Amino acid sequence: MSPARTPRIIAFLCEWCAYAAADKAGASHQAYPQSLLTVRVPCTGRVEPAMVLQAFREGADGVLVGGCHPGDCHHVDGNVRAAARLTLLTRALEQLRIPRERLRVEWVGAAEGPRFAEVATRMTAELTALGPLDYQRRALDSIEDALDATPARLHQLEEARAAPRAPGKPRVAFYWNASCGGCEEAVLDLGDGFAALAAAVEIVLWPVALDAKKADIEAMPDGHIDVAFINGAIRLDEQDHWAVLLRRKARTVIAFGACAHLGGVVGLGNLSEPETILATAYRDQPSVSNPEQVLPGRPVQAGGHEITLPALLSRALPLAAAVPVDFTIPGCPPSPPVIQAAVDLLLGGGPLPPPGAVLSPNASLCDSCPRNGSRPERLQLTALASLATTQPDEVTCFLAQGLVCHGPATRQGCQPGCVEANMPCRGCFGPLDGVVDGGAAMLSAFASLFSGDEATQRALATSLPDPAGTFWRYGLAASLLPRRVPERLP
Amino acid sequence: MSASPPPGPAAAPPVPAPGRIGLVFCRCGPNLFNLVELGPLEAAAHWPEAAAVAVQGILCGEEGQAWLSGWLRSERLDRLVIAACSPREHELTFRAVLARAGLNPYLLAMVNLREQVEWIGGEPEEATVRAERLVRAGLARVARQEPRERREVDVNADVLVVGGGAAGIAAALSLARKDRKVVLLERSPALGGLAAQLDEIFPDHVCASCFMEPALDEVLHHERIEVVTQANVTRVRGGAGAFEVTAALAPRFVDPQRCIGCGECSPLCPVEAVDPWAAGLGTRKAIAAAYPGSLPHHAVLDPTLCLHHRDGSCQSCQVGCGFDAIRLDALPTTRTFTAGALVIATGFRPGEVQGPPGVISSWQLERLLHPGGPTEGKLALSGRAAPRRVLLGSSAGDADGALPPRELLKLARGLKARWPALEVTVAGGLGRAPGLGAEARAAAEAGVELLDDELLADGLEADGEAVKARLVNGLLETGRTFDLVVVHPATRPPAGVEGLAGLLRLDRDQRGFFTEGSANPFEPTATRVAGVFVAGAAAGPRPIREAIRDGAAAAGRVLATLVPGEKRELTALAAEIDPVTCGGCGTCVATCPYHAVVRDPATQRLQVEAGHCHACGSCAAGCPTGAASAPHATRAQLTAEISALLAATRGGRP
Repeated sequence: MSPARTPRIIAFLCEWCAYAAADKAGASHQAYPQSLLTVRVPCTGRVEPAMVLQAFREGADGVLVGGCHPGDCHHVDGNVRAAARLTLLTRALEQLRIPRERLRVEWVGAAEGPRFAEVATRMTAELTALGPLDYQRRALDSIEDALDATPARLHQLEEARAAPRAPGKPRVAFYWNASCGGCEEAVLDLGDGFAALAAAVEIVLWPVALDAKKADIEAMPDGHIDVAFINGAIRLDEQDHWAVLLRRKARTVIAFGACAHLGGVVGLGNLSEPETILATAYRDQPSVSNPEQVLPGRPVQAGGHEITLPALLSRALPLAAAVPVDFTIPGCPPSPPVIQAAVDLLLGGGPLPPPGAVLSPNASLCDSCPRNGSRPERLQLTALASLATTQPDEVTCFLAQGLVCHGPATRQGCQPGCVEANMPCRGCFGPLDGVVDGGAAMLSAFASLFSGDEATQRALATSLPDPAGTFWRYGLAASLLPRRVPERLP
Repeated sequence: MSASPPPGPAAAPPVPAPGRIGLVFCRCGPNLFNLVELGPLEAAAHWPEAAAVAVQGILCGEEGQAWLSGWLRSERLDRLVIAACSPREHELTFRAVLARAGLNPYLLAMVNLREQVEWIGGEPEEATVRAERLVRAGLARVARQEPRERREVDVNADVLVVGGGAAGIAAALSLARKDRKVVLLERSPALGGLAAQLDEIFPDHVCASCFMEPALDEVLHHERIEVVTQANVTRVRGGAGAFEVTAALAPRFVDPQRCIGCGECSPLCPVEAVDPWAAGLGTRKAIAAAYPGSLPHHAVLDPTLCLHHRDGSCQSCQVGCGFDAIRLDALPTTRTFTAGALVIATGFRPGEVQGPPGVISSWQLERLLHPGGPTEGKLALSGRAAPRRVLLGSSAGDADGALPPRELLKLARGLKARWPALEVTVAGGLGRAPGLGAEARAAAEAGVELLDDELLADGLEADGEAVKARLVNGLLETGRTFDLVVVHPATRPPAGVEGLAGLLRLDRDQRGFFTEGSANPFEPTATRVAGVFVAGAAAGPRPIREAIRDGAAAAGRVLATLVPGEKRELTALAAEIDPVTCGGCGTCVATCPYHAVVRDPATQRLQVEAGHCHACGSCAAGCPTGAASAPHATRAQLTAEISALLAATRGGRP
C-alpha cells in the first residue's frame, strides 16, 4: 500500500443536487480525481452517522456528504438535518483523532458542476496531505496479535461443549474482569433469589467471595462448568486468558453487565492511548512513587521474586470480541429482575433463546417510560440543557427538557432505575437487536430533534459537550470505531 | 428485508427465481471504455453475483431496448444492473423496459460510469479499479432491493386560505367564483383584517368600507366558501395536491346560528376594558361585536375579561339574551381541513408608539378618522382640547420603506379635507420615497406643510399641553411644538406567524415576514414549498391594492396548477415503520419534513401515511431502534453498498 495512493472517499450524494452536479461536472469533462466512491441517496437526510463510521472502519480515508444548499433542499430541510447530525458526529470523530477534514458536508447545487469538481479536488488533496486513515490496520489489527498469543485459544471448543456432562448440581462460576465490581454486588441484590440460587447450584468459582486458584480451574475437564457469568471488559492480557479458560471450561458463557456486553465505561479508556493511560497511572500522578519506572507487562523483582503484572491491551474489548458468548445479561449493573429471569431461564431446563441473545426485552425504554405521555408529539429542540446546571423537571420527558436521554435507543430491563431517580437514561442496557452501533443511533436521533436554520442547528450540535462520552458512554468498545486512532503506527 | 443472495448459474432453477441479476455494460456508442478498460470488467467469471453478463453498444436505443427485453427473458433474470450513463439520464428508460418485460421496474441499479468515471479523466488503471468498485456496489444494492408498486390518487382541488384580510378574501373570492371550494381561516373573530378598519385607502382616498363590505358579504354568503373564525393553525402536513391542516378553534361563546347581532348583550355586561379594536382609544365590554359593523356580525365574548370566566360571578349576558345564543361554557375545539393548496395571507400588525399625551400612532389616527371608530370620526382625545397643529412623522429607524410617507400623506390630506383650519405638517421621509409626486403636490395644494427631508427623532417630550418634537435632516436638528403628533410605527408580523412558518417550513425575512421565496418571477406569490402561496402583507407591509392583487395572483396560480381530476402520483418508496421494534419515541415525527408520521392511538406505535411521504429517508436515519426504513435506500442496501465499494478489488488491488 503505497502512501501515494489516491484517497478513497465514500461520497453520499443527494440525487437532487450534489449527484446532479457531479453529472454536470462529467458532462462538461471537468477533470477531478478518481477518488469518490459514490452512494446515491434520496436526500442527505438519509445518511446515518453509523454509515459514516462504517465507511471509516472499512477503509475510507474520507467521507463526503453532498447535498443541496440550505433553502434548496428537495425535501425541505433534510440537508440541515444532515448538517446537525454530522456536526455532532464530527466532534465525536475528533475525540477519536479523526480530524474534521475527513468528514466533509458540502452544499453543491444541481447546476454547480465546476464547484463539484473543485470540492472533490480539494478534499482529495487534503486527504492526500493527511495520508491514509487505514483505521483497521492502525487501530484494530494490533489487538488481534495480542489475543492470538493467548495459549490454547479456543482449541477444540466445540468438542468441549459436546462432552457428556458430569452428574451433580449445576456448576456455576462468577468471574470479574475489567469492571468496577458493581456487577458482583448485583448478584447479591437478588436477595432471597440469591439464597435459592446458592442452594440450587454448586459455585465452583467466585473469586470475590470464595477462595479459588487458577490451577483448580485449569484442572477441571473442559465443559465441567455449566454456566460462567463473566463481568467486565477485556483490558488486560490476563483477563483474556481467564476468558479463554472459562470459555473452555464452561458450557455456557454469559457476558454479565454492560462492560462485558459493550465494554462499558471501561471502554471510554479507548479514547486515550494505552501509553498515556499507563503513564498517568504509574508515573505522572503526584501520589505515585515509582522511581524505577516500572510498568505492567514487564517482569519486576519484588521481595526476591520475579513477578509480572498483566499487560495492558491496546484497547478494551467487550467479552464477545475475545471469546464466543452464548448470552448477554445487560446493564450497569444488571437489575435483579433481569438477572433472576436469566437464571431461571438458564437453570430451568426449558428451551433457550438463540445463541447471542441479549436477555432483556428487545423494546425501547421509551416505550415503558412513565414520562412518555409528557413528550410533545413533535419535539423541536431550540436549546439544550445540561445536568450540571439544570434540575430536571420530575415529570416531563427529559428530551423535551433539552437533555440527552438514551431512552429511545436503549433496551428495557432497568425498570427504569435512572428515570425514577429523575436522571435521564444513560444507555447502559445497550441498543436493541439489529442496531449495529447504539451510540451512533442515539446521536442521530438526538440531533434529529434540533430545530432552526443551519447555523442554529450546527450551534446546538456544537454546544453539547463530549459527544463521544455522551453517546458512547457504555458502548464505545463495541462501536464501529471502538478506539481512538493511535498517534504512532503499531 | 434483504433478498437472499443470488444463486450461482449452476443452481439456476427452471423458472425465474428472485435474485437472478443481469449485468450489462453499455458502450454508449463511442463514449465509454476509452479510459475505463472494459477487458478486466466484462468477464462473467469476474462477477459471481451476476447470473449473466453482457456488453452492448447503445442500450438506450430502440434496438438496445429490444435486445434487453429479450435477454432478460432468455436469461430468466429479474434484477438488473446497468453500468453506463447517469441514472438521471436513463433510469426511467430502463425501468420502463423492465416493466414491459413483466418485471418489477424498481429492481434496477444504474452504475454511472460515463459522467462520474469516464468523463472526469485520470489514469486508466485507477479509473478501471474505481469502475469495478462501483459496479460491485450496484450489484450489492440491487440484490437487496425489493419490488415496489406505483400508486396515484386524485388531487384535492379545494383551497385553504389562512387570513381573512384584503388579500385573503381576494384569493377566496377569485377561487370560489371559479367553482373551487374554499375554507377561509381567520384568527380574529371578524373578517376584513386591517383594511376593513380603515376609512380611506391610499392613494385615491377611496372609502374602504365601500369595497370591503360587499366583498365580505359575498365571502360570508358564498356557497363554496366556508369561513372559520378564531382559528389558529396547529399542524400542517402533506404536500401540493393533498394538504391536511389542523386548526385550534377558540370558542366565540356565542352560537352564530342564533345570534342576530342585535348587541343587546353588551349593555348587560358589567366589564369595561380597553378596546384593542379601537387601537386602544376606546373601551369595550367583555361581550360585543368585534367592532361596529364587523363581519360576521355576531357578538363575541373575551374570556380574559369575562367575570364568569374569572370567578363564575356573572351570567348577565346569558340570562339577558333574547335569542338564547350565549354559551358561557363553550370549549375550544380543533378541526382538520384538507386542501390541495394553501394561500397564506396573514397580513401585518401595526406597531405601537410611546410618548407623552398627545402622541398617537398613525394606526390610532386611522381609527379616530373612521366613522365607526371610537370617536365616530372626531379628532378628539379624552381630556384634551381639539388640536390646532398636527405633525405626521416617521423616524429613520422605520423599515417600512415607502409605506410611511404614503400613509402619512393620505392621513394629512384626510385631515385637511375635514378640518381645513388644521395646521398639518408631514415629516415622513418624502424624499426617500420616489413616485409620490402627485400625492405630495395634492397635499401641498390642500395646504399641508411638507418637510421633504426631515424625519422625526426619537424622544418626544411634553411641552405643557403640547408635544415637542425634534426634526432631523442629516446633522441639522430643529425643535417644534405641536398639539398632536402622529407617528408611523414600524409594522410587525402578526403574533403566531413564527409558529405558522415552522409548520409550513416557509422562510421569513429579518423582520419576520414571509419571504416570497419563489425563484421564478413568473410564479408570483409562490414559495419554495409547492402548493403554498403567500399573498399580501404576510410578505411585508404593502398598500391594500397590492395586497388584493397578490390575493388574485395566488388564486390564479392555484387555478393554473391545481386542476380537478388530475392525478397525483404517490411515491412508490414510502417509508415504513416496523411496529414490533418501534418504541414510540417519536423521533421520526420530529424529523419528517412532511408531517407524514402519525401515532396510532391504540398501540402508541408510529406509522407513515404513504400519501404524505416523499421518501427522503430522514426518519430511517434518525430512528434509534432501526424500526423506520426507507425502501430503495434501506440500511441493508446502503451498508452493503459501502462495504462493496471499500472491499479489496478482485484483481487484488486494495
